[in-house]
Amino acid sequence: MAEIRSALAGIYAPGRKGAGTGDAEVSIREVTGRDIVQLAAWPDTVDGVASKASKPVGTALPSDMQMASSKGKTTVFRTTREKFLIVCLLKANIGEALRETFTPEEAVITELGHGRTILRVAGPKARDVLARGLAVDLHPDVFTPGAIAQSNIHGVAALCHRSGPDQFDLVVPRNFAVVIYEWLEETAAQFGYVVEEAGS
Amino acid sequence: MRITCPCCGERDYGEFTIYGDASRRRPHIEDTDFETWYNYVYIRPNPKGRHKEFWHHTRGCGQWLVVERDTVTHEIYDVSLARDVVTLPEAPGAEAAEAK
Amino acid sequence: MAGSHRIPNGGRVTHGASASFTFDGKTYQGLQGDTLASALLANGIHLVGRSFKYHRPRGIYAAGAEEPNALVGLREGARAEPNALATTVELYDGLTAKSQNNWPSLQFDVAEVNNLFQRFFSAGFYYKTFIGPFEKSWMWYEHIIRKAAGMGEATTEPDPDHYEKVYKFCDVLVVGSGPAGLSAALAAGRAGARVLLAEQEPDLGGALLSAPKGSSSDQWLSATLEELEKLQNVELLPRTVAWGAYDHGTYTLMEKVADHKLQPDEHEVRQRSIVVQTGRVVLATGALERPIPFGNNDRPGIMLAGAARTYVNRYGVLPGKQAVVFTNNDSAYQSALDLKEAGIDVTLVDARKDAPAQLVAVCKSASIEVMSGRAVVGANGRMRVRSADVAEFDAKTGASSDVVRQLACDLLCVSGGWNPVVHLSSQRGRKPEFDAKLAAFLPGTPPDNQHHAGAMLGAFSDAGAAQSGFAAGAEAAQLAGAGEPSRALATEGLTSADWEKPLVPIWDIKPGEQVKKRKRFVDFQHDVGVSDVELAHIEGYVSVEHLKRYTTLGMAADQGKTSNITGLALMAELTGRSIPETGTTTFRPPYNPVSFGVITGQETGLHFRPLRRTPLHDWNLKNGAEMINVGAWQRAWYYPQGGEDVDAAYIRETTQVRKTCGMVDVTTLGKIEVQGPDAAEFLNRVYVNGWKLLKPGRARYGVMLRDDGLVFDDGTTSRLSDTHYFMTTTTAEAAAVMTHLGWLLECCWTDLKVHVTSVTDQYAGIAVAGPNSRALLQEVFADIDFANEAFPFMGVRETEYKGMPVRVFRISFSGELAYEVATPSGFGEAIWEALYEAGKGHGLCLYGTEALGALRIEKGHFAGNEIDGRTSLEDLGLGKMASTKKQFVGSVMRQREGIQDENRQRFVGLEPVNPEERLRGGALLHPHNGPHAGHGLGHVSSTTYSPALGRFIGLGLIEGGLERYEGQLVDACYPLKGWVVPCKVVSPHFYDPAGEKQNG
Repeated sequence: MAEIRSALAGIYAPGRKGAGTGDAEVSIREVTGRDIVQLAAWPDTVDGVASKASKPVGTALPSDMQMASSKGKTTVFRTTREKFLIVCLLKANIGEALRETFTPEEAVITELGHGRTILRVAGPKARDVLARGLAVDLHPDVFTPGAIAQSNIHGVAALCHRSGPDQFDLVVPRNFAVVIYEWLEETAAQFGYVVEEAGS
Repeated sequence: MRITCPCCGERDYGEFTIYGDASRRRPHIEDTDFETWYNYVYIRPNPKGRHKEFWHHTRGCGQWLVVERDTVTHEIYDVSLARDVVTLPEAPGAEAAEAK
Repeated sequence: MAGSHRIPNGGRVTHGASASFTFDGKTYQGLQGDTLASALLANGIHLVGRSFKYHRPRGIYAAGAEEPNALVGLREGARAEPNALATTVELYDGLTAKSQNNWPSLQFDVAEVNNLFQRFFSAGFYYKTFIGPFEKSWMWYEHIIRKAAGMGEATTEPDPDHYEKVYKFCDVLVVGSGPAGLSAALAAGRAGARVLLAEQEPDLGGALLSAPKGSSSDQWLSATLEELEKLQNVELLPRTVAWGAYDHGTYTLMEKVADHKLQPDEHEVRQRSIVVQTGRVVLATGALERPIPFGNNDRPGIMLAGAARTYVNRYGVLPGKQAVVFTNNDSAYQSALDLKEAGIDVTLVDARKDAPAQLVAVCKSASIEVMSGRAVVGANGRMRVRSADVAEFDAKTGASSDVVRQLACDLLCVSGGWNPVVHLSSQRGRKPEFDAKLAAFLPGTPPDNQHHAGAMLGAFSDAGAAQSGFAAGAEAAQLAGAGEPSRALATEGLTSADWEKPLVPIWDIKPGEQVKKRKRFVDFQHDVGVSDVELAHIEGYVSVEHLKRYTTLGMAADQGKTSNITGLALMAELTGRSIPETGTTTFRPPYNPVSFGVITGQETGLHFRPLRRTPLHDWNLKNGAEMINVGAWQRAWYYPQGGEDVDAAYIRETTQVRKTCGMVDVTTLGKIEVQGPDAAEFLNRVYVNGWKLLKPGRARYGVMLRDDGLVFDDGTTSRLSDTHYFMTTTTAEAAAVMTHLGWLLECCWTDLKVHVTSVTDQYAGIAVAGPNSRALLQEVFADIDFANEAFPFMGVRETEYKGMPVRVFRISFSGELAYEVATPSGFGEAIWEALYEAGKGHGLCLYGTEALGALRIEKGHFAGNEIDGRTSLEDLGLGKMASTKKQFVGSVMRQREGIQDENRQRFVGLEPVNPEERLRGGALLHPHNGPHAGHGLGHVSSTTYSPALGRFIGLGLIEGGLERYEGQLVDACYPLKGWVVPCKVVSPHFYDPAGEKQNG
């Protein structure tokens, strides 16, 4: 497989930055090596599609639109009642598997892996950083691990997934990825942050 | 204003885009009656008070909603997925065919 | 000692922590904990500014956000801030401030002559004098007036500081931290609710901080704060003003993060906007003392009685040595006593005949002389009050006698009663209700999710305020879904004494006949006096809203915090109506002035709005492209060589494309996947032409209409399989098309099984155009047969290049043989580079949007300039494209007479008679040699220099189109510059009209 050029290739710069000198309270990392595929069923087929898809996807598909389901490095978001966004390792070749599983009468499959950039924001101050651009209540009692919110982040339509107690994955449109990355850096500077090497 | 999206939960209205009156039903694609289309495209009730509107959750799940709200107080009475509440018009001539 | 008027060890300031500051260039000393106002007073300075209209000397009048006079210019250079309230500016070491609105100096201001002519500057002065008889007089006078009047000056340098926005969520938002606010937070906090408490001042405590240090309330305060700080579910936000209340529990706050420092720390923001979403709100915003108008009641040294008390008790400052306290209510007695205790001589003038006996007795034992049934009718002194003229006064009739006594003083304290701060309730549309006993507007039934408590409701004892706050907090928490407070409220240490005698409302002290007539001010900040309200009444103004706009009363930066109620009470008196009948004006956000920094937050510079970059952005920058913003996108505009300007570059690029070939980044075109069993039917409905017969592997040009029958957008859509189409839209309308398609599917045609998904971000788009494009693509994508017969115009092919999937469309926007290559975005740069490298052998040039436009204009393709929401299919020459065999969006409405009218403005080409003469987009088309008047026959929509034709050309829309004007001359007029360019109307298809090049 040819190398995929990151949308952040021209700007991404790992290192300890911002206020303070000790351990940073925020980390930022581009999550690479992921494929993203949309599985869109029809109102009368979605239940069947959801259960049938769990085999090729490797995890049960979520029934809740505000809660992801995850297994290993595969995460599935239910973005509407009929649509699922499957994020998994590139090598899984999930789009192909799904096209083989479903006819267009059951569901249609759209490749979106090159159209999204995933940024992981973690650490004790991750929530404070995101609260500066995302008008969603991220209190751990309300936005529990696994919760997702499709919303506006600093003016960009994006998806926020709490992938851990202090860890959030932002799935942002590729052509706006630089905007979000720059904003994260500017916002995290007051807390002190580290940009980690991009990786899977 | 806060709108409770059936998919995403309660959100600020800035995430949504209003797409106009949802009290009218779009004529059937095969309907060629001028008055029917004229009324649909141009005539608006524009009530002061309760009103049904299409709202698009543009910066959220992207779903289409029918929001019933008060245009004066902004009180929101109901939010539904549009797909669940809109009804399809009969094909033109269906009525005439039935009458026969 | 920090200041000559400082009480040793007095107040709540930090003695020993001195802060040096300058005012009008002179250096002074203050203390940590001071405001700029208290520090100035500590140095004996009352005179701090000149007034807005009359340039009268003005002093510090209040001790908080209601201050009408003490507006100063803060800091210098890029951080200069005009109109800062000295009473809310926290003092820091190194602060620089200057007085405003004076020239050449605060002590001697030439414009004070305005004061001598004040009868000319009465209400409506500007309207009457400079507008009306002479049509252009206002334009002439405006800049002179703006210079003479107005407030401080803003800096023109960019703000070097950072601002940000943060979203917070809570169950209960408490506004205000006096006894009511703190108790509300305590109740909600003890009930387990998520609580936010906002206090505009740096210290929590509100009115309790104005009590003498060591008062019994201090213990209550420190115990309460200690508990609140320990509660994990309570967040305290000092230096944070709640300035806006909106629908459904949204409140906007401004936190002054670093305004109390010389400059923000590294990485620190100066101010922060906090948008709060809350279940319930407790407003404990207190009450503001109001003035009483009397002659020259604006002289420096005159201030609110509560403010004087605050300066003594909180800041340890003596605002004078000899004070007169003038009141119509009990509250000022405490001020008088505290001033006396601090060593100030005090005489108390109570306008009521029936003074509170117990308080009078306390005053007497403290050696304070109390005069009742008397009023201050005028103040003497100019730069500082020197004495107060006291007369007998009948509060019932408002009549006053001649001056019976002149009291020498350097401090004149006034209390006309208290106005509850109802702004955040009023902002929600709730009309305040007049309470005759308090002679004040109370907030009325709380609107939506609000609760009201404390002095805002007229409860003026500390214990009463605390109790009402606790009850409101408990109720709010419960309604927000929390439990009950774990413990009840303790009020030990808080005073519970209520007023002994009721307030007697006084809205004006009219001088007796023998008494000198002096201006009696209502609104200090806008220089509006009693006489202006009277004049407005004489001229027939009845509504308070009109009064406000005509006199500008209450329209200054302080929003009439001290003046509104007095103004409308005066209006009520004049019109013989009651105050409730007269009504109040509506408060709107913001409660306090809010900086632009807070409004914009991080949305500045390149982040003004999110900037969209294509996958080729970095490469374009690296290779010297000049970029241009197109909507949200940044696109390559042109690729200059050797110092070329845009004109030279695009002419070279355009020429090269037609000669050999060129490559352009077209990622910005909207790309939509249309998938599902009913996809063909769907496209057949949204496009005007037929789609059902299009075979997989083929593309077709399509046009969409709006429901009203006018053209919406166009683009090329390819069929990839029976149920899968790949649609492209224009760059400008991509989002609108996507939205519209979604609406049709989700809200109208719910029986169609079709999904539309935007994939604009998923694919990079590269157009290769020119006679050599075929050979170039054949070399790079060897698996595809590019021969004309094998891969005809409007064909689609798929292949891989070094493992990267590539889709090639044979479509043309330039009129040349051309292809568009789509590849997943992450491969965009690699494919582009492969083409670029191979292109060196084929004469490939890079071209940007300017050449892209020139090529399409030469070819006569319309674009956004022509699809402007007003053109029909026929206007664009596409009438025959519409299918007659099916219905589609807009098919009925496009048949309307007006849209079919042959006289409509239609799409044409334009050639200037002089080929060297440039056409201007937007120019109006008029008959040749005139008349050049009115809207004309049409307009020029697009223009370029055409290298192919060696002349300037243009596209436009003209009445009757080619049929009427082909070959005729019209004048393109640009009235702003007086330019007239005669040009010939021709077919828009300047270049290769038969399409031999693109099809060949």
